[in-house]
Amino acid sequence: MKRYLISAGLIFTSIAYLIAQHLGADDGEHVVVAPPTSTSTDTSVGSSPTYSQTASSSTSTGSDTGTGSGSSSSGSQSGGTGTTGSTSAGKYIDGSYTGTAANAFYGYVQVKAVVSGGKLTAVQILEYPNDRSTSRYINSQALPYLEQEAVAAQSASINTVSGASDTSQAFRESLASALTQAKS
Amino acid sequence: MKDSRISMGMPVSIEILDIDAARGIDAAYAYFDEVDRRFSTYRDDSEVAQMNRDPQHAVSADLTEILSLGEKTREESGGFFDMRRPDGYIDPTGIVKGWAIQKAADLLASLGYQNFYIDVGGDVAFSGKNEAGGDWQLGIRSPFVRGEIVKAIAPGSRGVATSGSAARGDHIYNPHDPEHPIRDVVSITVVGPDIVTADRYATAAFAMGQDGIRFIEAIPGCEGYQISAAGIATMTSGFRALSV
Repeated sequence: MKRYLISAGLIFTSIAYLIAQHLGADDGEHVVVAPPTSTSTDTSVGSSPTYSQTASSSTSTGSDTGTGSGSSSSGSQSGGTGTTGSTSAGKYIDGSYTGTAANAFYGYVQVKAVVSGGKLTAVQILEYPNDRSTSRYINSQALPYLEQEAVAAQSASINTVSGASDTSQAFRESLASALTQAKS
Repeated sequence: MKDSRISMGMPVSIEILDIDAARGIDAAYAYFDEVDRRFSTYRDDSEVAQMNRDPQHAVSADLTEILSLGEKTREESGGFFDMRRPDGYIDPTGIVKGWAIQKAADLLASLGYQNFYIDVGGDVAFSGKNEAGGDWQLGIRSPFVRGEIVKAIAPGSRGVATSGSAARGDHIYNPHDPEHPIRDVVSITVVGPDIVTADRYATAAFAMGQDGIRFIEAIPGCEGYQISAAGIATMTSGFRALSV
């Protein structure tokens, strides 16, 4: 459990580090990081989901070296699609940036930071591998939607009908009367 | 001119709008009488009865065609349509009905008739236009309330067949589970490119229960309207376009 907490905490650390690296001298914007499903309660690593750009103290532990198993260090972003952004004084460059995969106790977690209008607008936690394969399987089993309605009487003018024939009783009655006529 | 009679053990209606309709109507009913003599499972001297008594006996070209349609439907439906009853008897009734309607429609066309429909026990083949000069309008019977229509469609020159449980008891069963008659679906109506196609697929789909409508959805050129015991209808994606 403790190992888990530390790992989760380190993820937050790496996220915070990532963010802190790219925050420009903007007006104290806050970004909300969606936490993974199991949140850490270890306050010593600043697991609060809200970070401000000036609260670099929240990243104190381990932020200098950017360590933690597999966490990004020195801003390296293997697998990312965007540039790292230079200094804390610059704005972000629009785009999506995927961080490296951080090895947590329960699996790998990777984050994607979305920048639009020069601001960090969202950070997504990407969960895998088990969750992804499960959702892929579910999607492949998805059936096409077929429209449904409650049957109700229609009064349209029709020429003929199709349907399960009259009830057994009515059919027998009709047949019996026809046969009676046939006899006479 | 419209004429309704009991033929092949079922209520049959034939309406012909062209001139000299009476001749066509008589020819069609005479044809159905012959079909009954040859393929009825209730007659000891029918070709079907003879075939079941003596499988080595040569079968006619027509019966060969019927049997091969049945086998094809069995394969396509994963065995949900199967002419072989649990007791081993080969019963091609599920194919004969649509096949005979098509043959009768072909007969009328060969006699020069263009605007007519043939309705055998709720399975209908259409040709041409109705009295108003428009598409024939067909109503789907309510499985719950006698005399009530729950849907009206204009199938053009397509064939329409309905398989359901309101008719004569649970005469359609699931070959994979013959002990349990079909219960959750009370009727499925299939609109196909022709009545043979509509009829054989409707029979197969009904035996599948709720999955029947998906079987129809997967068949190009066929549409379906399936009614559950709870009164909910499920339709294929192209069915709405047929509604009036």
